[in-house]
Formats: sequence, structure tokens, C-alpha cells
Amino acid sequence: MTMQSTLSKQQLMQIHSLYQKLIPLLGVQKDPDLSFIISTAKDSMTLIEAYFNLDNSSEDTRVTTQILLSKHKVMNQPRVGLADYFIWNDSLEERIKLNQALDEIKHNLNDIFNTL
Amino acid sequence: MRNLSQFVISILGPFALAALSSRAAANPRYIEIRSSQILEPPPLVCGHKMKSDGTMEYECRWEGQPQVNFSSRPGFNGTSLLLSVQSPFPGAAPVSTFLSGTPVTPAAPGQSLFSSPYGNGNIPGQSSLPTVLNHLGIPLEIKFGLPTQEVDQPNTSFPPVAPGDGPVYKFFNNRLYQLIENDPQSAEKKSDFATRGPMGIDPKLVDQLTSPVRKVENQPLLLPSSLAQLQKGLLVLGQSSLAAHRKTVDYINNELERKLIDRRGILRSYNKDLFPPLSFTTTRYSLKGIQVRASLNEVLTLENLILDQLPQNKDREDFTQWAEKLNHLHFVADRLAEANLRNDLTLVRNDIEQAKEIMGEYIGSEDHSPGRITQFMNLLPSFNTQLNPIEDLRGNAALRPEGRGNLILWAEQNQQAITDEAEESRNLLNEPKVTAQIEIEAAEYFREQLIDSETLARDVVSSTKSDLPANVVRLAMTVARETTTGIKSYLLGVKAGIQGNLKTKADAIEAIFSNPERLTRISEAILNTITDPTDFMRYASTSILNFHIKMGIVTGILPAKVAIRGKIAGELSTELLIGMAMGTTAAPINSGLTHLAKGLIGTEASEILGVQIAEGLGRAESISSEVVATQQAAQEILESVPAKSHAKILESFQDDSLSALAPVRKLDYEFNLIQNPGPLVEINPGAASTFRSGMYNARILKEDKIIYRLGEGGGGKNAFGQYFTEVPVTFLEGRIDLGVKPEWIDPHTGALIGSSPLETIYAIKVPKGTTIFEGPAGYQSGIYLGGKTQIYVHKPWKLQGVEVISEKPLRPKL
Repeated sequence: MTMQSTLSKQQLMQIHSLYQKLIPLLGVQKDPDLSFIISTAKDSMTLIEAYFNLDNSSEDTRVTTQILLSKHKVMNQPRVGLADYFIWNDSLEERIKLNQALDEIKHNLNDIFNTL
Repeated sequence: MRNLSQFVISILGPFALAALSSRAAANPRYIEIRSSQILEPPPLVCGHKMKSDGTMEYECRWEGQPQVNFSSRPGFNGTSLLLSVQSPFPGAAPVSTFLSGTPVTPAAPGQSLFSSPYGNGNIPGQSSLPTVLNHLGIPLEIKFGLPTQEVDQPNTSFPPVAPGDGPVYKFFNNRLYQLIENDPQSAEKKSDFATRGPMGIDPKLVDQLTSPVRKVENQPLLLPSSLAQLQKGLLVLGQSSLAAHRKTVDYINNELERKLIDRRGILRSYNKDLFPPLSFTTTRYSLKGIQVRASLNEVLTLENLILDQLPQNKDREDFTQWAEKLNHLHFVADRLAEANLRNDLTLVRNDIEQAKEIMGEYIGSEDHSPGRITQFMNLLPSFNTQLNPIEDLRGNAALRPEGRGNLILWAEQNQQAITDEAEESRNLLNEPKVTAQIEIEAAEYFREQLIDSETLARDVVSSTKSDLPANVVRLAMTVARETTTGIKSYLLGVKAGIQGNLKTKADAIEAIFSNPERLTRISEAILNTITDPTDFMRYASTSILNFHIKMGIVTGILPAKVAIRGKIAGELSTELLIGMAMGTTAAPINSGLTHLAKGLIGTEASEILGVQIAEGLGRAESISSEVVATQQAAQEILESVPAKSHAKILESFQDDSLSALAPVRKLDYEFNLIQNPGPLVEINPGAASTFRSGMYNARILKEDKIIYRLGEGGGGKNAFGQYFTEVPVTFLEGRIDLGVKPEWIDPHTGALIGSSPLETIYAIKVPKGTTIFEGPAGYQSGIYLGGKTQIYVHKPWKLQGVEVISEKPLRPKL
């Protein structure tokens, strides 16, 4: 995997789209412990939207990348972050099914940020 | 008429006022809101009858007589208090006329509803409606539709509000729900709310009280829910008025008593048979005696009337009538005292419940530091100042002999219950000892960990002697040695402080409670210190400084300062509390300490000792961070040492007496974040970082394996996470050795990311074929040192065959 210093515009749009899908999934179980993750995801979306409203200088891209990466890391704080979150159901089969979309989003987000 | 209306209005408030106003328009009207037994009112017995003019008259009485409604508790700044006492004896003057002062005239909506029973200007913070609302946090623009208009002149300026429909009703119901939501016994109260209506009022009764009046009057109503809310507000205000009432008690004790004896002396000069001598064997009456004394005030008034008439009218029959009247009033006072005692028992029970809550809060809290122990222990004595109602009773020698006899008999019959309550309360006071012992064990454990760290530092220094310049080695040795010395000194100091603090505090508290006179002195001292705690603060600061100077630590090395400071804090607490218990401290100090003992948390005076100890703890954490930093630096050095030197390093351990404590070594693990990150970085890079220096091994299970997880109680989802241990661990091991912080904070913003409660240990069976990652838990911060082997399993909740074998609470609730 090629390492890069900033996120591309396509990656930024993908991140925005992934967060947009993620937030409703996090609200499924109305878990108050997720408020930080949800608000951080929303902040990240706002930042991306602001980025696309600017002239997109290289400095903008660099700063945006840094902030998004920082937010991604803090959202995935071990033990209490997104990486440890799952949707619960007593049935294993049902549980796997319910978490499929969530895992896919988490996986895609990690893939994007791992390019940095 | 006056008694009836007072009764009716006191129960029904504005509804009754409106109902009565049609036939009593010329009479003064007033509203009494009862200020006690709000949360658990006795059953109401209500009835109604049709009057000749076609209106309905309602009357409700609390079951059980006499009516005494009074509550006062310390804890807030002074405001006035409403008292409402209803005489149960036909023909007797309502006691409330002199307890509550002039009956209160209802005001227009939004204006002052109540006036002080002690007259304007005497007591700060009049009990006005805005005051009540402000205290409850209710915006002042809310207007109450108090139906103060006549029946035939309906108030059309305020829109009628139907129950459950109008904004006022909804507002107060929401407030009630909020209060209930925040209540620890939320579920029970919700259920009560749903089945019995707000504040335990029977919905049928609410309907009975509201519907007919609304039909007749078409008036805006102060609905029961809002009435109950107001009542609760008044109760809160009532509890805040201790200081003001003590002034009244002082007046009664110092002046009224003397006047009574003087007047009685004059009366006895006319007729010794009719007027027996008064004696006040106990000159100090507590707050609980205020209503009895107030009834005596009426006696005094009547005796003055007799005295006025004596010179003109020496008719013996007339005197007899007066004397009977007086004796009757004594009897009323007697019954009031009995009711007071009943209320006292309720207060004691409430105090004990509150003490239990506080202890529960302490036991359940994450912070078991000595500072917290001090704070909680300071809270507890305040619950025991009201445990001696019998003494107050015996002091009530002004009552008639037969009445006094009944009263003492009643009290003696209940002596066992009172004693049991007191005993239970004292037992509660001992609970901190148990929790403190846990704290001490934690400190011991912490010390062991730090010795481990020191060992590691020594190992590294030893191992790198041949590779590092001599001055660097010396410096590292010095840091390690000083750090270790400082930590050991500190921990010994903390331990001594905790033990000394606990023992002598318990002794001091015991000494206080075994001496009723001391309680009285403390009560007086509270009054002095509420207004000026600065004497104590000044004394405490000076004392601490003197200790520093005396023990010559000003020029000492930093760790020693920390150690001795912890010890000083414990010793200072000890010395001062013993002094207070023994009565040997100077008056201003005693006052200040009393203030402290009353536990008005939030004031500077009450927290100063806790702050001192907490500061010591803070320093300890700082030192532990230094140790860990040393440890990390050492680890980095170790990693930079060529592998060929490792054998030599291991050999160097042989001569070290601490070599049995083998440190974590990189060579034990296949993967590390620097040289060989391994597969976990691809799967979950955050998880890899939770291992110390990213060191871990990966293996595939050949058999099913049971591993353990600490987590939130409740089972289900809470049983699953991704971090486990090979063997069951304790709460302390979870926090310290596995580095699981109670709360995780975003270092950039300070926001709370999430929390990790450790309440239950789950045993989980993981199926064979699963890949597990094992390594030492990483350091987080502070005392969250890590070091113990943790196991990471990726998304175990998706594994076929995963099973929760058992769950067990970590610490039983005391």
C-alpha cells in the first residue's frame, strides 16, 4: 500500500459518505456512550463540507487531513471507541447480520486512513 | 369559622379559599401551605357537604392528631420558614396563630404569597413566592392562577387551566418527572406517581378536590401537582432556615423562660394552689422544642392577662376558669412535644438513609483516596446531632406533671427504637474504616508495582553499563535511587496518615457522641462559624506551615516533602479532631472544626484538610509518572542494545537482590511496533498500541479456551469486548496492571470519549481456531501502569461457538 501525506478529494468524499452511513447505525441501540463518536463523526463531516467550500489549497488539504486523521484515531480509542463497538442481539446469526454494514464502514474507513 | 377555614384552606389551598369565600367574604382569608411530610403525607380524610347557598364545602384532615407540621434542617443559608400547626383540641386557640404570626393574606398572581412569620426585616430572604420559585429554578414569569377573587367575580384575566392540559400543569408535572428521574429510587417513585398521582396524592382525591370547584368557579386553579411542588419548595426552604430559628430558640431560652418564671411567681403570690411553681431544669431547648415553647408563649400571654385583672377582680371562680384554660394549653404543648418526638424519629431515619446513600456513593465511587475518605467522614457526624430527643423531653419541665409523665412514658417505650437508630448510625460511621482498609491495601499494591518499576530501571542501568558513558549510568542510577526512596517514603507517610486519621477520627466522633454537652457546644459553635470560618482556615494554614518548619523539610528533597506532607495532613486531622473531642482546642478553632465536621462540602474550610492529602496524592502520581518515564526510557535503551548483549544483561541480574523480579523484556515477544509490527496492526492498529511498546505474540488456539473479561455488569452485550486476560483479575489489577482507566478523555479537547466501568468479571469460552494476541498491557497514565499480560481477540461477538460461561460481580455492595 502506497503511503501518502494527504487525503485525496475522492477519499474525502468517501469519508464523508461513510460517516453519513455510520451515524444512523450508531443510533440503533440508543447507547449514550456513543455520543462522543457520533459528534466527532458529525464534526468530521462538517469539516469536509467546509473544505469543499474553500479554494482547496494544499495547506487546506494538509490541515484537513491532519484533523480528520486525529479525529479518526480518537474515535477509535481502544476499549471505548468505534473499533470496539458492535450492535448486540442475543442470536449470533442475527448479530452477525446486524453488524455487517457497520463492519464494512469501519473497514473502509480504516483502509482510507491507513494510506496515510 | 376561623378554625374550620384554616383547616380547609391548609389542605385544599386556593380551592378551599374560593369555596369559602362566598360565605366569608368579610373575613380575612389566608393560605397555609404545610411544610412537612410532603413526600409521605399521612392519609387524608375528606368529606363535603352542600351548603344552603348551593355551594359545596370541602374539608380534609390528615389522619392522626395532633397536627404538627414542621421541618428544619441545616445546610442552606437562612430564609424564613412557614410553620403550620393545627390544634386538635376543640375550643383551643389554633397554635398557628402565634407560630405563624399574622395569617397571610393571599396576593395577586405572581406577587408575594407568603410573609415571614417573624415579621419583615428580621430574617433575610423572605419566603415569598418568587423566592420559592427561584429556589426551584422555575422562571419567575410563570404566574400562578391563585383564585383570590370572590366566587361571583371570576378572574377572567387568567385563562382557565384544565388538569393535564394547561402549560402550568404540564410545566410542574415535567418538573416532578425530572425530580423523580433524578431520584435514586426512581423506579419506585415513578410507579407511585403513575398509580397514586403526584407526590402520592390519590388521583381520585385530586379529582374530588378539583372538579367540583372548577365547575362552580370556572377559576384558574393551582393544581395539586403544582401545589405539591410548592409544598416541596417550602420544605426545602424550611430546611434552610436553621440559623434563623436558632435565634428564635435563643430568644425563647433566654428571655421567655425568665418571663414565665417571673410571672408565675407573681401569680403564686395570689394563689399557690392554682398556680404551681415552674422550674426549668434544662435551660437549653433544642430546635425541636420550639413549638412547645411557642405554646408556652401563649401561656405567658394569658398569665399576663390574669395579672392585669388581678388587682380589679379577685373573683376566685374567674381564676379557676383561667387556670383551667392554662392547664389545657399545657396539655396541648405536651401533645405537641410528643408529635415532635415522632418527627424526630422520622428525621433520624431520613438521616440514616441519607448516610447510607453517601456511603453507597463513596463505596461505588472510583476515587477512594484519603481525601475522599476525609470528606465523607466529615459528612457523617452531621447525621447524629438529633439522636437525643429524650433529653429534650426530660428538659420540658414546664409541662404539667401528668402530661410530662405521659410524654416520658411514651419516650421510654420508644427508647429501644431510638437506641437502635442511633446504633445503626454509629455503625455507618465505622464503614469508612472498612473502605479505608481497602485503600491501604491498594497503596501496598501500588508500592509493589513501583518497586517493580524501580527494578526494571536498575536492570536497564546494569545491563547497559558497558554500552553507555559513565556519567549517564551514574545519572540513571541516581534518578532510580531517589525515585524509589521518595516513593517508599511517601507511601509510608500516606499509610500512616490514613491509619492515624481513621482511628483517631473514629475515637473523636465516639467521644463527641458520648457527651451530650459537647453536642450542645458544637451546635453553638456552628452558629459562630457559619458566618466566619476564616479563623479555622487561618489556623489550619499556619499549623501546616509550622509542621513543615518543625520537621525541617523545607530544605529536604522533593520526595521527602511529599512523604511528610501526607503524614502531616493525617496528623493534623488527628490532632485537631482529638482536640475538638476533648474540648482542648481554642474557641475559634473549635468553631472552625465544628464547621468542618458538619461537612458543608464546597466551603473552603471543610475541604482544606482533604486538599492537603489530595495534594500529597497528586505528588505521588507525579512521581509514579517519573518512574514510568524512567521505565519507558529504560525500555527504549534496552531495545537499542544489541541482542548479543542480552545474555550479559541477564547475567548481571544474578548479583542483584531484586533480580527475582524479572522485568518485561522485548525478547519474550515476537512482534513489536518498532521493528516488527506483526499482523495485529493490519487488523486493528489501535489494539496493537494497547500492548506495551506494541509487544505481543499471536497464536491460533488448538483447543477451546476460557478467558476472562472485566467489564460493566448486566451481561448480554456487556460480556463482550476485545480485551481479556488468561486468569481472573481483581478490580485493582484491572485498573493498575491492565491500565483500564475509568474514563477516557480526548487529550486535545478534554471531551469524554467513553468510560470503562469494572463491575463484573465474565468467563468467556473462545472456540479453537481463534487467533489470540497476547502481550503486556501498555502504560496509560498516572497509576494505570499496565504490565500484566492481556489478550486481544478480534470481534469475539462474531465467533461461532463463543459462549459466556459465567459472570460474577467484582465487589459486593456493602
